[in-house]
Amino acid sequence: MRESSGDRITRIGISFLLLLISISCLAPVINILSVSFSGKQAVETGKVLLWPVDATLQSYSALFEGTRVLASLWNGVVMTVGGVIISMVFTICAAYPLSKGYFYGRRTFTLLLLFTMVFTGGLIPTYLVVKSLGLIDSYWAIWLPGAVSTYNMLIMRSYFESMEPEIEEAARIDGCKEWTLLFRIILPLSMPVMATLILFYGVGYWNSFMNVLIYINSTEKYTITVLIQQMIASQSLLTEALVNDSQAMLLVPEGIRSAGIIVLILPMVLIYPFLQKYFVKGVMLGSVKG
Amino acid sequence: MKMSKRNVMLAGASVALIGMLAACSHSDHAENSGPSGDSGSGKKPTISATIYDRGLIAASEGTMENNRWTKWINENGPTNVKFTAVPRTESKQKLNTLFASGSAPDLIFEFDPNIKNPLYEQKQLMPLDDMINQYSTTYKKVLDENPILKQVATKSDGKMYEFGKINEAIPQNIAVIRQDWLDKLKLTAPKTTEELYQVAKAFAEQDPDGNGQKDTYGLNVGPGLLDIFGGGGSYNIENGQLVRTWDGYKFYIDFLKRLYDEGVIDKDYITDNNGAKARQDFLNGKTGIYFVQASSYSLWNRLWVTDYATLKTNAPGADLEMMPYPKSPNGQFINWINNPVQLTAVVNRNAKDPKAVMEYIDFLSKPETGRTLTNGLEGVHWQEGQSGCPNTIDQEKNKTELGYVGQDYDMIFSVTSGGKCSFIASSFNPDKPDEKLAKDKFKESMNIFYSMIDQGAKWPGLTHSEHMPTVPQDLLVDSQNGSTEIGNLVTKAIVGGASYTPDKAISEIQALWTKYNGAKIDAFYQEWYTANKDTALMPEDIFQIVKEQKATQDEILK
Repeated sequence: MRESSGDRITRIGISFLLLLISISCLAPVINILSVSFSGKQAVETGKVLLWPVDATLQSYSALFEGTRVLASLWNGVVMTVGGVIISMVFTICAAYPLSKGYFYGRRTFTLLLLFTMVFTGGLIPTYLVVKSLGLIDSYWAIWLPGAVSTYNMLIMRSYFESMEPEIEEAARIDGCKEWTLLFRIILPLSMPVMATLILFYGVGYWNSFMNVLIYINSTEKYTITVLIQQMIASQSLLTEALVNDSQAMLLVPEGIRSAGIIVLILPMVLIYPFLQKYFVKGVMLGSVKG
Repeated sequence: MKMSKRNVMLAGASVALIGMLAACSHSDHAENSGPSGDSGSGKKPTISATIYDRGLIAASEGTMENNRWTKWINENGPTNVKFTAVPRTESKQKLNTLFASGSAPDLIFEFDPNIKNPLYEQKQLMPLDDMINQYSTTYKKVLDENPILKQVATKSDGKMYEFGKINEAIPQNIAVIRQDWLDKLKLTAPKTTEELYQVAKAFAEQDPDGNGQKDTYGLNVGPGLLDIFGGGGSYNIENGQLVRTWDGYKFYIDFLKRLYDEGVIDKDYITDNNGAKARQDFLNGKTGIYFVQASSYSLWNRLWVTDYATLKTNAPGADLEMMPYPKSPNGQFINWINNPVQLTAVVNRNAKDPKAVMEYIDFLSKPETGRTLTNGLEGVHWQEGQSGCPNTIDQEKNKTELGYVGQDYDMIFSVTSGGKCSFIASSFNPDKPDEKLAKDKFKESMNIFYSMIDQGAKWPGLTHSEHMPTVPQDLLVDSQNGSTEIGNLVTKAIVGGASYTPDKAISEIQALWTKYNGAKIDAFYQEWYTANKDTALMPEDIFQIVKEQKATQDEILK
């Protein structure tokens, strides 16, 4: 089919618009990347835009030697991987039965879960519960209260529901039991939704800040998100300047902060392309009922 | 089908299991998260205390709760201290949760009065008078020598609730001017804000850097500029009554509006919220008058040593001089001053062993402790210089081993206890030319400062913001929203063109103030002022402290 000239102009227009949007999204990231590789003086005199000036690894060596970035990076990985595993197990265990029409009490359970989307316990009551369970200062305090995100669970449930019932019937005729059915048939067929939710949960855990701050007391266990946030926010202490705090004057130079940001976003940037092909499919599926 | 139904029930039970699993998995963890075992070092009592975490400690040093200095404290101090880290920028959230859940440490170090005052209101704090009277020696002596410390730590019920310290009373913000530009354009340093306007305009328009382009700015809209006009919304005192005044804003808007319209200042100054762009312009030799914060050794050193050197590279022949604050139509105001009497520590009402807490505070008040927790160990991190004050042995080593310490482990140590070595100017080594210049400039700055006080310059505000009371809870939201909106309105008026006159802006500000319960807020401050005007730290007291410290400064700067 040949493109009419009108279509062509529209297509070029749209591409141009999208190009502009992607540039405006990419430019700040590239700027931060360039700043992180530039010399201190070049950064302070505002000479760095989209390409490093006086290229150096100083910021990175200062970051790795002068802060706990490696330890906290590892903590971030542990918390994210552990959290994703726990969340996925619980989400599957909740979504699967709820996707079966013949599951007793399906409506009640769904409503109970939906209830948590509207009403939450609030910071202090939740903290007290977590504390009384003895979870303070361990990652369990972050993993367990937020193990199942109802929204994610519903995505998974509708994916399961959208599967042809014939697949299940065929498996059962071949003598497949419930757990085998789940692990050998349903889950392998659900890779798109699995990848999507792994990404959702992964990003959620990686970025979680307030929870770590509140529940974790030993700085030893702080994750990279908390560390970098501290470095960036310390800037505001100086500008507010309402309170005398001589140590706040020891500013973290912009180059080191930028290096921190790069280290923080790198893992997610690396993982995205691998999961992306599933990602689009996963969110789409379940949206069309037929 | 029956079969599978039962199996689905089984699987469904796992939904319910989520809760049970949660309950089980914690049990094996409970031991780890409990209080860490006291590594029995004799009969020393154990207390808990907070320590700020700023994310600045190197992994090789350990953590803020456990490193060479916490070990030093526990080995040399009278107590075992178990530290709880409080993230510096989120201390309000963290302390609130710790208090709400009953797990707050015994001793809390916190600068911000707006975090501590509510704790007092909620009766979470322990009064300190008995502790001090019964157990204290060193801190008690500090209080006797500095009665003002006791005075400001006393709350509305007549009891003391906070430990604190005396700081070096020096200007928080200063202004510097490009003397080479003044000379080139045959101008003199401005004495009034009208002259400041003229000079700034000349700097922007008469090409002082001689590159043939109109690419210079008269001044940066930086820290302290508003103070020259008397600060924003404030109170005048008339016969013991506080009268709200917006004159500071009025003259400020009038002044800045002209500079903005005539392109004398950076038109994008509003988006430069941390001053990074202003500093860039200054370093690139594009700014004639630079308003900057300079209230600590590192900031003073940055301005006069590193930044000055960068400026000279980018603009050969650059010559910086101190610029005393000019007189505004609202009167002559003094630079904002570092809070000289700073309250920094409170004790949890539930502290088990007040005696041990007091002994620890006494330990922190000793000159040797203060010196070690700032400069490190003698022979390892410093040795005595000519002046008798610690000189750094190895800069790089100290950066790693001391850089994260600051004064965070000893937030109650007074400069008056540390003697002259605790003062900023002692840290400059006069044998190095650039540091000698920094020291000379410091002397110049102090002399300007003393003469301004002698000539009766006024404080830009009612008193230091850290000594203002916290607005009660029911007015807090209004008060915060009100000041945000008023701030926005001031900006709008400055950039709003000729039709937006200062008088119009002020009448709109007054309307906003009324809308946000300003009358009630005024009444609250009035009530506080009437009750506390003799005991609170007022500008006269601050000036008095400046004068008391003058002898020490003179000795260092002679």
